[in-house]
Amino acid sequence: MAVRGKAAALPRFVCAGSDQKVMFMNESVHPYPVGIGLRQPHYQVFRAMHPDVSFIEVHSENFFNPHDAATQVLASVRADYPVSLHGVGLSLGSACGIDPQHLEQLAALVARIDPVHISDHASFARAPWQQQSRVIHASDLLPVAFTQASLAIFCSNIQQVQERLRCPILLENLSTYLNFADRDFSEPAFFVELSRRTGCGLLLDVNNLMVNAINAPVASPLDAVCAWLDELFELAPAGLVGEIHLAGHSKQDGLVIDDHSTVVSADVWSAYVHAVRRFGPIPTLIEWDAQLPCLGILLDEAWQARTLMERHAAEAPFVHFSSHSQAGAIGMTSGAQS
Amino acid sequence: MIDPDASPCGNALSSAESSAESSAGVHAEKQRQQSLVAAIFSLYPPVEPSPDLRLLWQGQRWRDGIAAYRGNGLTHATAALRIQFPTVLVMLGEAAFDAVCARHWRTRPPEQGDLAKIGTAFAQTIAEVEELSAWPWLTDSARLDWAFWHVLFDPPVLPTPDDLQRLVNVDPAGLRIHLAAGTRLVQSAWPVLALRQLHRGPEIDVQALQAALQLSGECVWVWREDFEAWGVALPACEAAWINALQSCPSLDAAFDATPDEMDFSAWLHNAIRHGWIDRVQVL
Repeated sequence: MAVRGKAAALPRFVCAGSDQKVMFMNESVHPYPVGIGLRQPHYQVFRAMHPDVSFIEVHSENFFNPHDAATQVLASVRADYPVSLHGVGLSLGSACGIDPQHLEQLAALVARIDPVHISDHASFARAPWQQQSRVIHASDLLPVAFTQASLAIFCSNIQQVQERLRCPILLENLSTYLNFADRDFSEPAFFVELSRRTGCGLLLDVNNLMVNAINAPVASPLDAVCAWLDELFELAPAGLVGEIHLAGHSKQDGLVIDDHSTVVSADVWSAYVHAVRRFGPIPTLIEWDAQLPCLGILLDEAWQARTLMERHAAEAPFVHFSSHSQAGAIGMTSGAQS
Repeated sequence: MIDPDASPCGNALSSAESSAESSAGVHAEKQRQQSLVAAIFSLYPPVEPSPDLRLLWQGQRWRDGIAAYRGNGLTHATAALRIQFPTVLVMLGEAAFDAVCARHWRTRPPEQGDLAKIGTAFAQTIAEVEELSAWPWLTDSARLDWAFWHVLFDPPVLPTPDDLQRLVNVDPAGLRIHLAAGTRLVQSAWPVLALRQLHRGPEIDVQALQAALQLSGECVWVWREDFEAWGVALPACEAAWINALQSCPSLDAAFDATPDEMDFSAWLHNAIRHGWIDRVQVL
C-alpha cells in the first residue's frame, strides 16, 4: 500500500474583483516556493496585485515575438519575479528532429528573460507529412513509447537544445490518451535514464499521472500514482525533480482530459502530498489554461500547495537545495543534475 | 534529425545507437509517429489504429483517444485563427468559421510549434472553399486581417536624423526610401477596411453593410505603431506612391511613377510621425 497524505480543507480566497488585496506573506525568499501560470487575461490584475508567489510560469511560445506588448509585460513582471519558461512546441521526442528556428526563438527568449527553469514535454509533434516532402507540427503533445529507440531520439534532441541554451532543461511527464503495447522502460525508469544520459531534469506533473491512472483504468488511481512516485523515488538521483505541476482535469467523451480547466482535484492534492513527502519542497506551479477563473482562485490554489508543502516537506528523507543557482537564491531546489 | 545510420556522437547517445537494432528501432519510431500524425490529420478518423502504432488499446479506446488528439490540435489551431482573423470570424459566424478552420487545419497543417503563423495561408484556404464564393470579399478581408496581425511581429522603427538630412541634402536620383518592415499595402477590389470597421461592433448595421458593398475597392495601408496595428484607406495617388517606393530603384524614379496630385510633404510628415520609414539609403 502506497503511503499518501490527506489534503486538509484550507481557507479559500474570495474573488472580489481586480482590486482585492492578497493575503499572502510578503516574502521574496520563501522556503516553500509556489507559483502560478501567468496568462494574458490576468496580466493587468497580476501587476496591480503584485501577489506573493515565488515565481511565475509562462508558455514560451507566447513570447517568441520580441516586438509585441506581451513581451513588454513579461519583461516588466520579470523585474519582480523569477520566470519559468514552459514550452509546448519543441517536440523533443520527434524522430525527425526539432525545428532549428523554434530552438533559435527559444534561445532568444531565454537570453531576454533569464529564466529560472526552462521546460518542455516528453512528447512529439513534428513528423513527415504524406510523401515525406515536408514536416508538419501537430500543435499537440503526442505520446511516445518508452523504448530504447525513443530514448535515443530524446537524448539527441535534448542534447541539441541544452547545448544551444547552455543549461539543462526540465522534461514534463505527459498525460496520454493512447497506450503503446511495446516498452523497454517503465515511465519513471525512462525519465531517470534520460536524465542520466543528458543531465535534464524532470518536471513532475502530478495531474498528468492522475489522468493517466484514471484513463488506464485502475481500481485506485491514487494508489497507482503513489506507486509511480515511489518507483521514481527509488530510482531517482537527488535533484532529478526540478518542478511540480498541479492542475485540474475534466471528463469528456469517455476519457479524462488534462485540460487545466478547473481546480486541482482532491486525489491530485493527496498525490501531491505524497510527492512532497518523497521529494521535499520542490517549486510547485498551479496551471490553469481553459475557462480561466479570476486570479484569486489561482492564488488560493497556490496557497493550498504552499501550506501542504510546508506541512509535509520535512517528512522527505532528504532535501537537496542548490546554493549556486538563481533558483536556489529564491528558495527553489536545483533544476537538473548531470 | 536522428539518422539511423549515423555513428554515435556525444556522450548522450548510447552505444546501442550504433547498432543495427537501434537503427531499426529509431526507424520504427519514426514510422509510428508518422502514422499517428496521419491519423490525426486525416479527414475521417481511422476506425482501428494502424498496426505500426503498436497500440495496446484498440476499438473504442482507440477511437476515444484519437478523437481527443484530433479535437485538441484543432481546438488550438481554431483559437489561434479566431484571434488572427477577427473580421472573417464575424463575417462567417462561429460555426462556419470553425468549419473553414478545420479545412485549413487538414489541408495546410502547421509547420511550426508556434501557432502565430498558422494563418499565413488562411486567405488561400478561404478562396478554395466553393461554398464561400458568394462572398467574394472574404478572401481579401482575410488578407487584411492577416496584415493587421502580422505587422505586430516586425520591429518598430524610426528614421534617424541622418536619414532625414539625406532627404534634404542629396539628389533624389541618388536616394532610396526603405519602408518599415511593419507596414503592408493591401489592395482589394472590395472596400475591405470599411467592411472591417462595420464588423467590429457587437451589432452589424446591415444597411451600412449593403451600402459599403457598393463602394469601390480600397488600397489599405497597414502599419504598426507602438504595440497596435493601424490601417487607412489610401487615395489612388498615395497607393501609387507606396507601390513606387517598393518597386522603383531610386526616389527620383518613384517620384516619376507617382501622379502629380500626390502631396509628398504631407506624406513625409505622416511617415515620420507613424514610423513608416525604416531608412533612407544613399545609392
